[in-house]
Amino acid sequence: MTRQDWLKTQGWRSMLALGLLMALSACVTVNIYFPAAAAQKLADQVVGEVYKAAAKGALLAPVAPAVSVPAPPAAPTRSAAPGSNALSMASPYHAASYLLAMGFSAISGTAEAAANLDASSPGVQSARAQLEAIAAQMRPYFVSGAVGFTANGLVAIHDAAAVPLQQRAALNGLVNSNNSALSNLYQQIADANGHPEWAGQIQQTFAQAWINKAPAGYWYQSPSGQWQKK
Amino acid sequence: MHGRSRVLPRIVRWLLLPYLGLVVSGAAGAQVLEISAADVSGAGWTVQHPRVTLATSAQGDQLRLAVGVVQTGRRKLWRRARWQCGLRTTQGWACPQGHLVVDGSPWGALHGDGQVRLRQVGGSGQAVLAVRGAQFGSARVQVQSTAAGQWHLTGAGSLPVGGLVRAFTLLPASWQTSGQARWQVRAQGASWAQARQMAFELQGSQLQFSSPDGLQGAQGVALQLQGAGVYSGRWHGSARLRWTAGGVLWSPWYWTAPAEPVQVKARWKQTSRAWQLDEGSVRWPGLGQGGFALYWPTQSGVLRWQIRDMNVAMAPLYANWIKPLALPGGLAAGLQASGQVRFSVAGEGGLNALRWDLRNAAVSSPNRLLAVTGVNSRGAWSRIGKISAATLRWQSAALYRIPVGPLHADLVVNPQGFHLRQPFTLTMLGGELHFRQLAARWTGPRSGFSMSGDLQGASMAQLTRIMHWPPFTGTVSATIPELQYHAGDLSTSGALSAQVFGGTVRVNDLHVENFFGVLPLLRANIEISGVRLKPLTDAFHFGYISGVLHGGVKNLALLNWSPEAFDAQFHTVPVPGVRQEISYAAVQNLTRLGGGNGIGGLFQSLFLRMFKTFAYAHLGMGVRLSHGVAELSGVGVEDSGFVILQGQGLPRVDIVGYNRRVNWNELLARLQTAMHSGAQVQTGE
Repeated sequence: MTRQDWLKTQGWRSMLALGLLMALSACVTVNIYFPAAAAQKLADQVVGEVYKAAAKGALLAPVAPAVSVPAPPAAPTRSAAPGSNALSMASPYHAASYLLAMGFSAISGTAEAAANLDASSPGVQSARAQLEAIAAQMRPYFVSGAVGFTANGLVAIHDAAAVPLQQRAALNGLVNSNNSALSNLYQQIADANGHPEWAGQIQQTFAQAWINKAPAGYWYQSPSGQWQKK
Repeated sequence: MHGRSRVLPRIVRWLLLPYLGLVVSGAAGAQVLEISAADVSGAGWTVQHPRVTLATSAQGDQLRLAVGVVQTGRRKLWRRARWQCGLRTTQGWACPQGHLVVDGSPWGALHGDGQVRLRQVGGSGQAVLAVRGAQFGSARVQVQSTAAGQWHLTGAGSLPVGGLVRAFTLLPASWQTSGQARWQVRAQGASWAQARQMAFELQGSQLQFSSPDGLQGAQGVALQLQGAGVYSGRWHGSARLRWTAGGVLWSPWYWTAPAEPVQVKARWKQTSRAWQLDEGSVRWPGLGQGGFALYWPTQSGVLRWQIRDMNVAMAPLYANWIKPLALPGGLAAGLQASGQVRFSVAGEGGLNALRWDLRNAAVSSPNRLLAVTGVNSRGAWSRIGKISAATLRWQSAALYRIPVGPLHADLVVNPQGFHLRQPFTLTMLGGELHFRQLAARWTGPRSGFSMSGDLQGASMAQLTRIMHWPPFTGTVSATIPELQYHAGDLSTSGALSAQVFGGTVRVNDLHVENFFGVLPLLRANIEISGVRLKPLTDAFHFGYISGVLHGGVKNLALLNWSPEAFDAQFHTVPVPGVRQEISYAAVQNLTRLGGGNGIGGLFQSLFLRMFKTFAYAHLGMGVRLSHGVAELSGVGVEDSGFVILQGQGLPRVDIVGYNRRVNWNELLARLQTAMHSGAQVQTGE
């Protein structure tokens, strides 16, 4: 086979691959992926304010954080955008792949840009206010080590004996109320963004924020369930 | 001598020893004498495999006692207990230095030293047993008997409470217990075989217990239990318990001993199946007092109890017994109560029946969201299907600082809740709130309260003043289809409708989350139809506008009673016989509301002032609030603006706004004061 024939064959193959990819691209569903960075920023902000409210021991006036962080491309595509020298590649197959990748990027980029987290809905503010009100009551129990954060963004009793007998009476009820408020907050954020199914991912994002921003001396559970002191 | 021995039912243990003495005397010259039995038992106790061994030698006599198991009822107190001592027989029998070893007991393995003395003079006898050990404290028991068989026993000692609790399984085995108890006992009998009377006293100090999760516990508790009993076919007597110090946690409750001791007295009775406490009385200083009875099966069955005619103060009852059950942060958790209540309660496992008589009580929340005074209520409730009557009265009340008049309601109480026997009426806001239906359910997914009724002639002026809303005049009448309160949330299953300014306002899908809690959140959809603008604008001092208004508010969200989001649209509709006119003052105000500074220009102003009213074709406005920004719209579009007022005839006045987006607080301010902006007024000339 001469080089010319070889190039011709390769050209047909490339065209065939291009056609196949075009056909496939017609069936692509564009998903809005969970905006992990926006969720992390929102979690850090909310958690910080709840800790602040707890430290003040008073309810903070509700504020409406409208976090608008462009989400990172959370969904990796196999046809990742090539470098700037992509067009210099001689193969029509590579050129087609590049065009398709650009097309995907354009579509995906548009979808992801809309995937920010809005935490200004009345439901979220109400949930936050309830959480901040309970946080002030929970703080002595966190400081003493009676309670700690679980690995899934809730709280649990770590060592009830760490507080005097009298203070333990309200402990179980407070933990239950705190967990209800936390679950409500995660769900309200998910609902406010039109994705109730995100509640679990938001909860996991907050779980890290509660631990990362916790003052020294707070207890938390590792993913394996072991209690550790920060 | 081996065999199975059944001793007389009421025999006392020490009577075995003189019997053994006779056996030993008769067997003089024997090197070793051993007596054993399969078991020896009396009323409530059993000793398995007892064995007595007497060994004589030139060095002296040795007495050894051994038992396999000592148990009371089904509880095994000792396993493999041995007593060994050198026996002296010069003046009666004496073991001056004995050694006790018990392999298993509630206190663990026991080691102790002690002495036993037995003396017999004529027909009289005396026995003394004294033991002391590190694990079980000390005990000294002395028994004296006469030839006629009458005997008298005294005993005293101390012991760690942990073992006692484990022995009688007073608490689960995994719980930690500690503390010391001192005990005294006196008993006497008319014959060798039977005890007739007994008295006991148990004093516990520094008592502590703790459950593994730490949610049940006690610290520094001091208790004193005294009692006496008589045997006449069965044991019965009296007992008194005094709690003098310490705190007890039984989550979610915590109680501390008051300055004066809590005192419980009762008559007690032991039968073959149960312990019974009758004619009991409880006196809890600072709380109240009453009677009780209790039936405690020893083998199988459920604990039955009654508390009778407890007369207690509402303040400590609510604070220490009821409030701990409330959700933190909820209304009930913040309430304070006062007054007196007399109640009786009965239970068998759970709560079975309740009868109450509440007198001159008051309930209030710190922020005055709820306040009720002069509360009197009587009634009864039973879990087992009986319907009973109850009454509820109060002199005055306030809900969300809205005063409410006196109440007199007759209720029918059933096992699941209560409902009204007959409708009643409350006065409020100068009008009347008529309750057609009011009901409550204690349990289940629909637990909570529900009501339906009508509101007639409520003064809006009073309501707006109390709620610090913009002043509003007139009265409101409303129909409440079914209002439900469940787990802190308030909702309606139908539409609330009110007659306002000649029209109808319908509130659909009303739902208030966290009604009495932090930052209540209201959601609703509101429709209005046929509202006459003249009385409406008169009420708001907005200037004269006549016409009929339709519209609604969709997706209304009030956070802490302040608007957070809604989509409102209002517009006039032509109705035969109703003129559509607007005054100069109203034009000025509409202009300001739309973002303008009134009617600009000297000529326009002077010209328009010549006319009292202007006819219009369309009037309306839309406001969409989101994220603190209101987006305005009108009844039409002109150029890049929105038409609020479209005039008709001559002179014609149109109001067109151009600032579509405005801060919500600014819009609120425009309602009261004129703001500077760029609305345009066209005279149509």
